[in-house]
Amino acid sequence: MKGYSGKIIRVDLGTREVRIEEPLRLWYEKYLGGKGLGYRYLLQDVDAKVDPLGPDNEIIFMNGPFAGTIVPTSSRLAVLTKSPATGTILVSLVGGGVAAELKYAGYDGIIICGRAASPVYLYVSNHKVAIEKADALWGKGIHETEGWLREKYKPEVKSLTIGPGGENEVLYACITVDSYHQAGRGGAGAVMGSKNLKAIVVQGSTGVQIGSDMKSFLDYILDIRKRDVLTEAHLWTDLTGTPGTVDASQEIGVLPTRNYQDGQYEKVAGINSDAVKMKLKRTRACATCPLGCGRFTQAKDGSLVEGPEYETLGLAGSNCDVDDMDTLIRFNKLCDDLGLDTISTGGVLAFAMEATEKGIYDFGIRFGEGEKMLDYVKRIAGRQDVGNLLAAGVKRAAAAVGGQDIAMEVKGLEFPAFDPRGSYGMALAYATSDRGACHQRAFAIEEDAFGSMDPFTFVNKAEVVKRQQDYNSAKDSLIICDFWRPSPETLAEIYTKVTGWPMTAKELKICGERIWNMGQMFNQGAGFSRKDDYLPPRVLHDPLLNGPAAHKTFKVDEFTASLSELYGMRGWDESGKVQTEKLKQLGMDDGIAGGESEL
Amino acid sequence: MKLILDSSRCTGCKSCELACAGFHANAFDPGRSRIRIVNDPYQGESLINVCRNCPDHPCVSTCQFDACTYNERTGFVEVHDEVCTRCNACVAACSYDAVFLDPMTELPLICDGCSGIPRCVPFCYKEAIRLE
Repeated sequence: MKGYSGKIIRVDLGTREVRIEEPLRLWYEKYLGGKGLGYRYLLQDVDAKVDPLGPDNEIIFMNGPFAGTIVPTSSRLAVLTKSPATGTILVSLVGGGVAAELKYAGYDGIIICGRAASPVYLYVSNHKVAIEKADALWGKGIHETEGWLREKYKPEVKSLTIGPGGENEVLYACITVDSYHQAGRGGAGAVMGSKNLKAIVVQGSTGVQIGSDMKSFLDYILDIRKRDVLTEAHLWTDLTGTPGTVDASQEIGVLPTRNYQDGQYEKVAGINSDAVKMKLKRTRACATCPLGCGRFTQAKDGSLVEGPEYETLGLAGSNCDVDDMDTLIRFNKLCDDLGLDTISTGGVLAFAMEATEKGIYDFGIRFGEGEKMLDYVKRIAGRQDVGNLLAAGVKRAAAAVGGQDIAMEVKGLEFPAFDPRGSYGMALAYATSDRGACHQRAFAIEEDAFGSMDPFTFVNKAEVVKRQQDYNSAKDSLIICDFWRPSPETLAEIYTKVTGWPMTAKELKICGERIWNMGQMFNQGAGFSRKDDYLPPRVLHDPLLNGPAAHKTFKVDEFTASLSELYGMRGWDESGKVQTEKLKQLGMDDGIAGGESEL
Repeated sequence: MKLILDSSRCTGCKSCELACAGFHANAFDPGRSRIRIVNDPYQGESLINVCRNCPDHPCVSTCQFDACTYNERTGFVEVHDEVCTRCNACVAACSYDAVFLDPMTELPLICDGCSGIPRCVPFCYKEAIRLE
């Protein structure tokens, strides 16, 4: 097999059984890898109604065919599970170097179920797969844990690690690779914690073979890099990295400010890319990435971190009214060490700040209280006093103490840093993402508010959202980073050269649509339907105060109509149910939906 | 000819390792690469290690079997696998630890400049590796 390794590790932490499985070639061809293959296994193995933090939920780490090769931006690993935050299917992608290392160890993925009786870590080194004791590591931060593993094995060992946040099952705990790269959203870290799984350690020493002439392939990749990757459109990765988006979002009025009460921040100069540049130490890249968007910054107190990225600057900066870069760097480092998603943590804290100021519930923290924010991060990770309430996320906290009108979430996932009132494409994307409010399933804002379409209408947005959801599903299966968006034709060409299996752009698009529909089927099984494709009350009823979207009344009727339009395009009924005809069309009438097995 | 290294410019992407292993070993196998990047992800630093093409070539002079020679045309050292006895004298002679061992063949891996056109160089967009 070329590109793929053809093997998957299955581990039951309860029985301590480890076995190696060989997925069917048909599965590789239909589901590609990463998100697609992971979704297929979840549909097969897990009851959609399973308790996400119970032993029967699985956590899956899945590679794409490009991992370990020189294909640009391909060292990304998909982490899949049923999300404890949303109850939906979850895929979260992480960079760094672990995806390549897992391929070099000889595996396309690891599937883990059960719960260990006491803390453990999984050690994978070529043919050796062992469950090791992790009692001494439990309670330790991610950076200390990684340091311990590097000392025990080798300085360059790769790992997927959780911190106290994951151990304490904070519903937005993340999983970390290479100190500062996270499978951030949706609480996959809590699932690892629920299994008493502190880390997965990976070392590999086998190479990846490809299905075409190697020397021609190297020339081909150099050419692709020149004409499609290292181009003017990607210059931002080198010039500013994601912090450059702060000023761009400010300009179009979508920068979350004081818990999304506004879309422009009067103190933006404290959190934009110029402010980051003052603290910049050096730039970094994930394995095989020529873009290198990572930025190491250092605060006055010496805290060094890879970040803060745009989302952290938006959520913990303007959204919490904290414009001190040193505090934001320390916030970033603390979240990274404790294993918390900075997006949800920022969103939760902003909610607590507004709830306190509005007298809804006294969380004891107000906008602008940067030092206190750092203390609250520790309380959340440790589930101490109000931290316990906030560890459940905005939706559950609001259900417990009130404030649903100011809870910025969809399906229980806190909003990213693009206010959808300034990009109706994004509104539809948040409402219909398979894992709740997410900007990565369809980044529709690039076509409306950042592009040429009118951002304040839903007309034609269903087409944009569907096209991007399908395309990204294929891309997240292959896997390529969000920051490089090659054409389906280029992706198909690379796939053919890497695997030796012919692939066309048309087939790739069908794969993408198939994978998106698998997510919908899982979510249907978990009880989700149209009622869950909502937007929070603040988006529907409270206009923004400043910027291009100021004082505009959100077009609720148009939103409802665009949902129906999107379902119609997908061949779903009005409730969002996937129809048999669509299943047939996508080659999914083969057992996925509970019919006859494709075996 | 010589590879000029500037580790402070290296972003740690390791594309050079894969280009090298792809060209020489026909597989994306960093363990068989003649150039190595050691990353410290916590501090965000990288060290590039590859043959420095020392003027006196101690790896060449130490080899008793003429398995390790300097190629005047390419300007790089070459290992002749068919006469190498795997004695590892060249490994010990290198003060930069830049002679690696191929885990499959146990033969020494020394940068030969890809016969004069090093493949790692065009893959290093930050110009942390340059050819002079």
